[in-house]
Amino acid sequence: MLEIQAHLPVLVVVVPLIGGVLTSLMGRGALPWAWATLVTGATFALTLRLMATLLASGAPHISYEVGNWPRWWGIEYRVDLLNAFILLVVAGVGFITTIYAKESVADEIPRDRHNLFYTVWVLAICGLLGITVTGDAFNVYVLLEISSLTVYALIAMGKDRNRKALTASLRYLILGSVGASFILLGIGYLMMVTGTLNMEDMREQLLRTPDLDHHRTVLVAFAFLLVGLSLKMALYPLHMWLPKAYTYAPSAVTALLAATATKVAVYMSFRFLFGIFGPEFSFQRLPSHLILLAGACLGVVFSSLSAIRQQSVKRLLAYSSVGQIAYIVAGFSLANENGVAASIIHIFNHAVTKGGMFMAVGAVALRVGGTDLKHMRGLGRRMPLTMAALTVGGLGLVGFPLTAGFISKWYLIKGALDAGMWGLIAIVLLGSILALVYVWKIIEAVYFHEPEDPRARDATEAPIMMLVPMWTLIGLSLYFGVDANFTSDTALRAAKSLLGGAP
Amino acid sequence: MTSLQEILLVDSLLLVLVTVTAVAIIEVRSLYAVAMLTGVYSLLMALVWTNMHSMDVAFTEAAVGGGISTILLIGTLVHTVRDEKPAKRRLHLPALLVTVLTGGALIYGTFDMPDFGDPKATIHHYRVPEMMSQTVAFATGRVGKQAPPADYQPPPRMVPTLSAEQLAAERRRADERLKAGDHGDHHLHPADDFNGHVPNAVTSLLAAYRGYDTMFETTVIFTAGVALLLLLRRPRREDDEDEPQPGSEPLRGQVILRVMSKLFIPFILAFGFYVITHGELGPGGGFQGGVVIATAFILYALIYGRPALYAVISPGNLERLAALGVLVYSGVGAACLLLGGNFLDYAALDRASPGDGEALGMTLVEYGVGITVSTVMIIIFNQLAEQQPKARAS
Repeated sequence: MLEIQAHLPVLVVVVPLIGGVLTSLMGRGALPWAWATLVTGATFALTLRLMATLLASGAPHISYEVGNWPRWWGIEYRVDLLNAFILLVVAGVGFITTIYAKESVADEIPRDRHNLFYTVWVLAICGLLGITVTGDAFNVYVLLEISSLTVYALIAMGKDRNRKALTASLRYLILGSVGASFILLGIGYLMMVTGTLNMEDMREQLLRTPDLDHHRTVLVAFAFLLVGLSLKMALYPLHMWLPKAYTYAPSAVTALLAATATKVAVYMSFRFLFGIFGPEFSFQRLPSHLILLAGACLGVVFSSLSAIRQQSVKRLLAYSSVGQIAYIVAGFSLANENGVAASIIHIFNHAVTKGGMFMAVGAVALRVGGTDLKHMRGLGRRMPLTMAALTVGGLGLVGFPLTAGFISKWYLIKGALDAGMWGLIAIVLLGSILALVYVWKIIEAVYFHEPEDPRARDATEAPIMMLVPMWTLIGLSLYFGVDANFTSDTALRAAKSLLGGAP
Repeated sequence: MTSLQEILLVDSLLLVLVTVTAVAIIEVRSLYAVAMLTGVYSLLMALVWTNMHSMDVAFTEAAVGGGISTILLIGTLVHTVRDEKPAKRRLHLPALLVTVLTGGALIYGTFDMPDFGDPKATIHHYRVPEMMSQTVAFATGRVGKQAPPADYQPPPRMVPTLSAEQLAAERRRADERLKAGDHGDHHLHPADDFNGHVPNAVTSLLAAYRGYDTMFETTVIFTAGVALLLLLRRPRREDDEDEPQPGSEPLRGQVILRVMSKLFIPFILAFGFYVITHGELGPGGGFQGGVVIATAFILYALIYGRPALYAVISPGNLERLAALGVLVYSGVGAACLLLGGNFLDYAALDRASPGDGEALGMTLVEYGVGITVSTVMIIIFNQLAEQQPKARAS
């Protein structure tokens, strides 16, 4: 009766939507978690099948017209290699983090509202997937609203340790809303010029627009989109919301956000800059690559320096995320094949690496009750598996060979060489050295100190329900550090199609 | 003076008032006055939309901005102080610079925009004409949708505006047909995607062509309600029931208020349902109607106390209904899938007459929107009212 195959693109979003809303009816106990795990697991299975279908079809993209309205008037879902890959990352990490969330949420969130927490949680994943799968510019904004609203609420739930989570969430709410309204203004101005909201249609209309380079409405739309997206990506210096939000959010939320939220914002930039405006307009006729590169280079250096100064490991890793996002931005602003591929690869690599590391930090929060360096001292012997995950992830941040981080940097340097940007290579190397410094701070505290905190002295290894998801992500970062064929092939093909101006 | 100039004159006047209100909102220290001024702001904007003939937007702005958000803002005031803390007035240069740059960029962007009301603007002849004439499926002869009539002509590349004489002629023709005994509900309207059921093009845009966006807008409302419960809901304890809650007492002495509200509430409810059901014919729909229905419940809670409201509808049921609305919407979409259409392809609901299926689907999802919007508004009000007001030095 129902051909799942034909409806995969829409099911990827509708399943978590209906599943998420149903979570609110699940009552207390472990049921909301179990249901959320089931829903995110099913969603992950659907994204896997979507990727398989796309690869098997050999077509450049799969198109789905919601409501059977012709795509120029209705809403089109459009899946190509790039967003099939991002969907896989978001749904996969979402599923694994949901498994991990059980112990952490039971510890950190009041019991009587677990159903509401998991409702918002699943809807957040739904929103991120919806942004990724759509081929319609306004649909992006609607799903951006969902993913933003849910994320603000999730961050604010980190309140039972301190009320700082509320102010961190408010800060993100204000800055995030500014970013979202800039994006909306940009889309609105584009709609006025092109008369359509479908991304491909917009692209064609822009190509038909005479004297596009001097069309003031288009230029302003571009500027507003660039600023709004940079805010959402947390590109230096528009990253001010990120460190506090990551630091004070519940542990599971931090792991989910760090792995997915900013990555989806990067994906949005791909669609707008490469898909709608086209690489030639964005990067050759306008100097946006210089602005992005400047932000990225400053971000790598200054956020790494900030990370070195932190005493809270969560905050240290948050600043490190700003630096890692900067690598991703640096890659695609080169607008050549290796550079864009480096961005796409690093979206995956950083998602698994940082997701796994925040999971390890969350396990420490559960066992020791704090996530400062002083809580971590001497845990190397008390929680060997968790600390090993943290260490391996840290080496990935530095970019050691045999970790996934090495592959990303390899392609980034290749891209910089292609563009003749020697300065960028120097920045990448400097960033790695700085990363080594802050990762060493963690390693030193963990392995070369005696436990200080009384709870750290008799801490036990993290529960198995945390270790398995944590090591799954860290294991992936190791596997794709050794055998990067799948990630790099996908990324290179996706980069090629992006640079061809495919929407 | 042409009519366009008159419109511009009224618009300029309104926009000046909007600007003055916005400045006043920033300057006034009394937060109560600020809450009222935001209501004024929305009402003025509603007039601007009316002047642009976008009645649905005007209705939403009036109901949401002028109505319910003012109530919610005043509800928030209970938990904070009445006056804004006096801030040190010093010039923050970077902030000023960024604001001026942003505003300047927005204005710079208008230089290459089509003129206000320009019939040659892209938006009037690229994709929109098919939406305004509701013949999107005809344009492509889509399988499964309402079939185009034999004499289908694509709509003119500009939205037609009937002159007063043309409009009068149309009305005369319709009257004559009615007198001649022609009461067929499809025949007064040219053939379209919805068999003439949905004359309001805004509704067909929101609930059909872009119904998928509207489903997620409803989810945004639901998410807002759930997020608020997640953050603010008081821990439920069994022994909590008898404890008198602040602000929950009924207004006992106020006979006039009690009697008048009892008279009003049925009419408010009836109007709310009318707005939801009538949304396909005129301005209105699930969002506006849902807000109107919510105000009836909020009025009841204000006059008779929240326990009386909870006797009508319990907090748990409110939460369930909020979820139900989204489930109705997405459920209609899923039903279309099961009946062999694409997601939200309402035509699948009635294969024999696809246009009627479209109208049925749109009515159902409007009710879904209405259920979620009204219950979430009541939930937000309850959460604001349930919080312990902070002790404050008077």
